[in-house]
Amino acid sequence: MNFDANYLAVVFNSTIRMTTPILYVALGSALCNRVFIFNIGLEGMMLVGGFAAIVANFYTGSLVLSVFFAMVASMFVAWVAGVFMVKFKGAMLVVGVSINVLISGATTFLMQIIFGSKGAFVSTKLVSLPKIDVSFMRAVPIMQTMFGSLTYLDLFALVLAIILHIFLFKTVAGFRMRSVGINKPAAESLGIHADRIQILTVVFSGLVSGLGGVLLTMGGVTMFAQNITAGRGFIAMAAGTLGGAHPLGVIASSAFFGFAQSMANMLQNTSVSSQLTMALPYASTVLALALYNYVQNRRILRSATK
Amino acid sequence: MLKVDNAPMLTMEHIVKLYDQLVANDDVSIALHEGEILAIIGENGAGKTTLMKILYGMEQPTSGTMHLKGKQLYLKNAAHAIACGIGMVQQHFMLFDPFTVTENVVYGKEPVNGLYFDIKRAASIIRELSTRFELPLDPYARIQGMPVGLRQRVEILKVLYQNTDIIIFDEPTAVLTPQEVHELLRTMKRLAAAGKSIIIITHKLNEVMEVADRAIVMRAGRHVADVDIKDTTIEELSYMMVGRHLVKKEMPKINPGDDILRIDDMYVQGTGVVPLINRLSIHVDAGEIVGIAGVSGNGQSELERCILGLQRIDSGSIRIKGVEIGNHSVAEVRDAGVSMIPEDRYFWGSASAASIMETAIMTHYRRSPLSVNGILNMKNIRKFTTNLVRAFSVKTDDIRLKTSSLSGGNAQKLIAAREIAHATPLLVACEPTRGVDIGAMEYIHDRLVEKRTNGDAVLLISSELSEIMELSDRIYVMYGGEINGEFMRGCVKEEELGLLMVGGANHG
Amino acid sequence: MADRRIRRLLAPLAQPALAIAFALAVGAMAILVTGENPLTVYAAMLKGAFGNKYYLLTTLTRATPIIICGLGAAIAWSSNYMGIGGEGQMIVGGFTTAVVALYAPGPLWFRLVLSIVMALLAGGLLSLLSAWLLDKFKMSLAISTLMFNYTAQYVTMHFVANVFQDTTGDAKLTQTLRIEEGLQFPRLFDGYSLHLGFLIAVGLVVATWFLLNRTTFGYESRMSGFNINFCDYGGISSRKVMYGMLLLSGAISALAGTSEVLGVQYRYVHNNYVSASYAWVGLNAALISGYNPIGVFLTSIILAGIQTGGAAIARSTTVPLEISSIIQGCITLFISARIVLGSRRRSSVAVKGPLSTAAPVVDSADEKGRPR
Repeated sequence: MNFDANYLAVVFNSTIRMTTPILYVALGSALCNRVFIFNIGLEGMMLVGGFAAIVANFYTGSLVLSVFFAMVASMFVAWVAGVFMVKFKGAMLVVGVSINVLISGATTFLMQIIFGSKGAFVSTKLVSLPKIDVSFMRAVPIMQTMFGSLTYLDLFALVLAIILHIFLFKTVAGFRMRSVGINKPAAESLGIHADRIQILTVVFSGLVSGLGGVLLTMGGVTMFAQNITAGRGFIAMAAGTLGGAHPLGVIASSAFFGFAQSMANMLQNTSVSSQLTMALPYASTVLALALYNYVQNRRILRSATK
Repeated sequence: MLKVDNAPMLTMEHIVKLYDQLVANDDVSIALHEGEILAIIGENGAGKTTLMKILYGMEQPTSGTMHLKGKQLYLKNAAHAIACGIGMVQQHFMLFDPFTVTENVVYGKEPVNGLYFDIKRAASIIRELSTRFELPLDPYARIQGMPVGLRQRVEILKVLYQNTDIIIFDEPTAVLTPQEVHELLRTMKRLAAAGKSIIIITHKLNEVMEVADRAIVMRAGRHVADVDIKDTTIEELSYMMVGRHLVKKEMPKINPGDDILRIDDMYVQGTGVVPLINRLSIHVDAGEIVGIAGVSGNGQSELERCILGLQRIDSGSIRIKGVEIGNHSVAEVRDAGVSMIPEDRYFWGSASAASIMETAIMTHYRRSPLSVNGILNMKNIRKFTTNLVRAFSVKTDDIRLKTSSLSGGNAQKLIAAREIAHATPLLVACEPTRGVDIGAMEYIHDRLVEKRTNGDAVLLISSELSEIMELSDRIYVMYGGEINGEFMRGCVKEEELGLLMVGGANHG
Repeated sequence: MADRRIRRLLAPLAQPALAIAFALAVGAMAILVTGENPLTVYAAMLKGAFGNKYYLLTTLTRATPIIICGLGAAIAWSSNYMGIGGEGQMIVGGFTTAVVALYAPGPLWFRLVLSIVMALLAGGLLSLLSAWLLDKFKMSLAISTLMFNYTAQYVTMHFVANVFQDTTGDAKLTQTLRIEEGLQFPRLFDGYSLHLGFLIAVGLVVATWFLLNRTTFGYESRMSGFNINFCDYGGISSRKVMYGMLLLSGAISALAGTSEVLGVQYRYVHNNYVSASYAWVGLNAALISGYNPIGVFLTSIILAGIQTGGAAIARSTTVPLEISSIIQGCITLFISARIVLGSRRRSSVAVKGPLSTAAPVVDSADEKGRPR
């Protein structure tokens, strides 16, 4: 294993590809946090998006329809979750866990019904997402390694983060959304439809998680496997919190986890235990969050004693 | 500036508001003229806040009408009220701490530039309003960390931004420093001079005398007087507010024994500039009922919590029979000999979804015979609860039912029964008969006297003056986190106490 | 009078019953999609779960870890400490049991006892770690326990694959050596899979019920779940409740792993508990039955029945066995809706204080003393 520039470029590239699905979901989670909703069902919403995309892909062969169908499915699931959480005041945790169990079962169920496969489904009929053509970078081969094999959806994740940043901090709608999370009774008393905003936010988080799911099932490989999300939704939630629920911060925190996952993959073929490296992202989440809280507490203490 | 014009701008006619059996407003009528400052005064529970909630659209009257500028008013909600020109600066501020002054003021009606929130234009509007009404504020300052006086200024700016003709102030000076109060009153006069009509809800009569043109006195849901301020005095207003016939209770003469509770120089800062409790010293002896009279919100809740150990005191000492309990854990305080009937029976005093038995055994459960070595003895628990329920006539079909099945009065009786059953040297009773029917009230009063006769100490904290006067051997008055009067039973008139309760001077 | 008493008794069952009804309706729709008749499928499921001695005992065997994990979840959630770490705790419990049973020195009885004790410690400590993170760092239980689930999974996988692997035999499976007969839990009926673990589960149900309803600690914990302000006022240490309950919860969930290792597989097999989702189903059982230990017992059996029934019809029809997850997820989803039937709003006054991560304090009564 040579730690040369080429290796680093490969790591860079792999990190981006690991980061983007997480980034989508993390952005959704961050927005939910902003309206004081702890949406643990994002894992399920990501899964349903990925699954719906494959189904549409198989039957229509159209990329646009695949993505569209993924968004519709994840938005619907999110809407149900949102209604239960906000209107019925179901404990958010219970709703989220239920959604995950339900979607996990339903997707595996449907996979068997529709495609007749258990475990995983691959097919030559499936169309994969086109990669961005980086041949214009051929003058600098290392750049080609760094930015190769990326799809437009990968790129869009970054763009989305920037759009959300502008939305959240520069528009009236974003301003009101933030207020709901800060002081919901105050917002309601001042005439804002706080419930509606919360549900819409959950729906939107479902939408973007669905896009993250599409990246999983149609990005690197084009297939669906049982529970292909493998806890990414939860990691994304941690990334959302770690990024301070701030779209630009979330890019950084998602990248952290993307990096951890990519290292875990790369170290798989080395003497370092692959299982321990796979545990790394999850353990590091706890550490990172503990550190984050610690720093926050220190800051609060310091300002209080000023 | 008061328009001599006789036609009032706003009228509320024959307003009745019922909450189930409770009559909050009983045929109340008021009128407000343009440019006038009208004060609505009365004790806690007199119905003034309810009346204003109706005016502000937060509640619907059971019957009665309202007219604004000649047209009848049907208000659906607060936003509608604002649209009709009625704004309220509420007692509990509705502010977003992390946001700036500008963001808070324009919330709901934000100026836009295309898709974007036009902060710059908003800030200049704020600056302009700020200057016009002499309410200096930095448009870009964050609310977090702002003192209460400034927060209130932001709330006032909100109302001015909405450009309402009528501004209602609900207990505005409750948490202000004397200097801030002074500023606020001057602001109100300025607003009135600029053509706004103002209603101020308050119990602080000296402020009413200073700023109001007219006053409406409310008592027990009715309006009992409608006077021009220039035609009346503070003593007259105070009498109209609290004067009532007392039922003298027969209390056997007891010579008070040693100190049970002694509080010296208690100081609690809190988060505002005005301390919550400011160098408070009281004592209660064995065989005494000591009452602390005062309008709710003058530090009583904090005092209650600090004694029990639920809140920290910054300096000073609290001693039970000489043993220091300040800043100790609740368990230690209770072990030292304190029990308490809490102010909020649903928040502190019980668990609604737990059974009556479970609520009844709180703190008792730790000791034999209700438990031995950590194991509960259900038979004894049942017996204990049944005895409590019987002794205090708590009306219930089955003690295994949820606590929420009890009516308010019965729940309070259960809590009183439980705490008195502790037989501790000190019982602190906070608003023990608030929201409770007459029968239960008398019952609880009798039990408190009984405890006193047995030689224990009772600290009675209540905003019901009649209750204080009826039961107390000695009376303190609490105002603004301080004690501003101490009297022996029979040595003070109700009017005097009432005056001190609202911040008046002690003539005695 | 009797009529009212009956209604009162049945009232708490109304919500779960309604939720189950709705869930079965959704399940029926899913079955229709496969082209089968829901009624015949449900009948077959019922038979496959409880139809004869073999099916019934298989269901009960499957229910055993679910009951235990459900109890672990119930005691934590009933005091308002909502962790989802049952899976991780079960994994470390099972793993510890296997390793200690296989490699500890000493006589049989000693190894058996030690393996159980170590498992309890392992699960308890893992849970305690989450409690500490909540206490000192305000880290939500949900996140820390979730992360620990995955960490436990991979760390144990590492040890099983690289250190304790069973290398006898041709297949290179990620599992430990087989535990000898002397340490295995005896079967309760010859030839059937039901083992001692089931009796332990029953014992735990009784013990948990006793703990929650007949001990002072149980009283303190339940009251913490009802109204933590009332507990503060009464002098109960919320910290003691939190650490105590979470420790117990982790230890109990670990016992589920022990039961599987000593009673079913006789070894620790990687991923076995995860794929069967015992801990999640257990959590669902706790949620559905409102954290009542006896309810957990019954509900776990029903949910296990849905699973074995699902497996049975997966063999005989085209309906995939995931139908059971679908039904289950729907049940808990519908339970979460506060469909208030006759009773007023639930007790959960907002939790306050440094130990919680939840919403701000609300004054639960207005100036007239009426509840809001």
